[in-house]
Amino acid sequence: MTANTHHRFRDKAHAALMDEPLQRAMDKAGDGFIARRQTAIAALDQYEALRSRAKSIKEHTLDHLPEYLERYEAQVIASGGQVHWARDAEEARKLVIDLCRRAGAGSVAKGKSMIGEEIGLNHALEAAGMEAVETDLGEYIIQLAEEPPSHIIAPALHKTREQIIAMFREHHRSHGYTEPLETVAEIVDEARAILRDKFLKADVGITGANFLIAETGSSVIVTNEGNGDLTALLPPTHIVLASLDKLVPTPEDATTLLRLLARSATGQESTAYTSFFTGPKPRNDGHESAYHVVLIDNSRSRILHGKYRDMLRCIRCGACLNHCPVYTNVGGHAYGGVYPGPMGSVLGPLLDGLAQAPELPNASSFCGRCAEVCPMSIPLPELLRQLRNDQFEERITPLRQRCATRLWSWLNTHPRLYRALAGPAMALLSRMGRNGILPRLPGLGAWQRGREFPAPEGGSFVREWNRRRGRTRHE
Amino acid sequence: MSEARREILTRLRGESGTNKAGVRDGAWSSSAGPRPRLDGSALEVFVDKLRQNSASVVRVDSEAAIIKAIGNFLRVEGQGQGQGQGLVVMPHPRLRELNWPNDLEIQCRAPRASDLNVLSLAAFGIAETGSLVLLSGTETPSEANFLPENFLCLVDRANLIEHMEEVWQHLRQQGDFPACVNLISGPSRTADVEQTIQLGAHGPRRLLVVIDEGSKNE
Repeated sequence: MTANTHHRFRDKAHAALMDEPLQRAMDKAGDGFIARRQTAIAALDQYEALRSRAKSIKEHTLDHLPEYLERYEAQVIASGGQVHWARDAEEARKLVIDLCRRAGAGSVAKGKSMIGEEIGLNHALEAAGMEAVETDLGEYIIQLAEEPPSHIIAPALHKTREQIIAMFREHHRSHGYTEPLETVAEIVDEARAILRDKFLKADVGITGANFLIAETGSSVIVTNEGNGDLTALLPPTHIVLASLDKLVPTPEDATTLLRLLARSATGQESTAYTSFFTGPKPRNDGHESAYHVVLIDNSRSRILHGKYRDMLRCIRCGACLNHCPVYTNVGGHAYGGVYPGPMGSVLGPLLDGLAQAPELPNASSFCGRCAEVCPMSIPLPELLRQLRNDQFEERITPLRQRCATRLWSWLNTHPRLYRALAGPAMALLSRMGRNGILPRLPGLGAWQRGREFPAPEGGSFVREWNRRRGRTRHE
Repeated sequence: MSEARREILTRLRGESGTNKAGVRDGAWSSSAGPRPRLDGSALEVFVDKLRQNSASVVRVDSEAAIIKAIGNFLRVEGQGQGQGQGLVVMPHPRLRELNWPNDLEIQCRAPRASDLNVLSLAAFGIAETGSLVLLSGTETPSEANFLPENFLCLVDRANLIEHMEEVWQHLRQQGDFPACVNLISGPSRTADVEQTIQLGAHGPRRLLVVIDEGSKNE
């Protein structure tokens, strides 16, 4: 959950495939996300134009990030709010805890925030003696389960209804709720009643931000539940957590990105609530209200100047997760970090270090759907490939694999030798085939356990090419 | 200014230093992007989208019709468990000065957590997404949009706009960006339990939108 989680994708993916409730939950999620996104995109006549505009907005902002951040900060201050800068997760946790203490907070309501997960905020707040309650229903469910989110927009995607009911019965008894639950409506109603109380009692509300706007000093959140708005509006103090890459210059720019975000995420044209917060809110109960923004770097400035800068365009819609054949089979927890799926396989190693997450760049079939559906045109497979190269260069890739890769690459650059070896090898493999399928081969045990390896037909591309070219010439 | 701030900005500037060329400053409105085409008039699209998102929509053309539409809704949906709780009307003159009948229990005050039915006023309606635009202020406090079980909202047809960009232009001209701008496109909902959509997660379970098409011209 914190930045130091060791990613062990291979083991966790194995366990996930054997985990029956998880597989049932993933089946239920099914293709719903894909179909809804498809319908929403098809109904939008400007999709490609918006996509290209969105990319150029983010590129422009990243080109001038310091200038826009300064403008943003000045606007927040002008609207009566305060901006606090954090270099890393630890500094961010300290700042937030300090702000909460100054607000005299015993209880903190939290809106959904991936950067909050990234900096491990809940544990830190609790260690500091404060009650931190997640108010997004999905986040609330996984907080009860003491698990990290398994999807960046549907954090409890991996939980079945039965599991949720069992947890509610266990945790809500102390609130006086003992009636049996069955339907989704009953589950939602019970959570609503319990969390409404938490909103009203909270001294501080912490939300994330989908976007920050430089021109106005606003933070933007999109929700369907309205929990983010109650979190921002009811407690006297509102703290916004945001990484540097959330910035856009204007409300119009945010509008362009919003047109893509909801459609790519849930297939909605717009979520039920899209809210722009600018400075402390007016209050009618005589209390002072406060508005703080904690701007968090946590590696973004390093990523900005490197070869993975494209990743900073990500708007966290989750489309790459929903379309990934690996993610949809093993779920989010197998990735071991805060961010799962293709975007997590890139971002995880960048945030935690490649050595901490050596398997993630390889947790991909390179089918390329993630890049196709990415509204921000992030070339995810290329970034994964680049991470593999880095692994090789930094000698994180195991020695045997590196030797094999080197040998292969050397052979490939010596075509005569390659052909001389490949010809007989193909002929041999072709003879080994039974009904066109190869028997178990040494070194391919794990791969062949679930797959059939078709036997080659004996020829080679180059031989066939030469034969046909010869024939054409003679004609 | 803090050491962290200085260090982050230095890191971001890298070797290239300050790069002010092309920064949008003072030319903010030129940043508008492509706008989706509407299939129909702003009014038609606005109504369609809201209904698709599970809101109830009523079009009226007189003050009496506004009152009647609200009364009809409250008779069906506006009874709390046990007894009816009447309607809490936000203290905006446009709402306060409606000719409320005696048989409707009206309170004109700031919203409370226990309020069942709350009526507020939208500054705009965006056709593109079927969204109400509510601006914070003492006359239309933002809590009203999220606390009640039933949220009722009046919007004048004259304030229907095609795209969100028009809101930003308006606020720019006005020279003041309110503390909260809420775009509301339906009742509160969640799909966090088995991807099943359930209305009324934390915010209102029901949304009634009353579009006034002409009482001002009476």
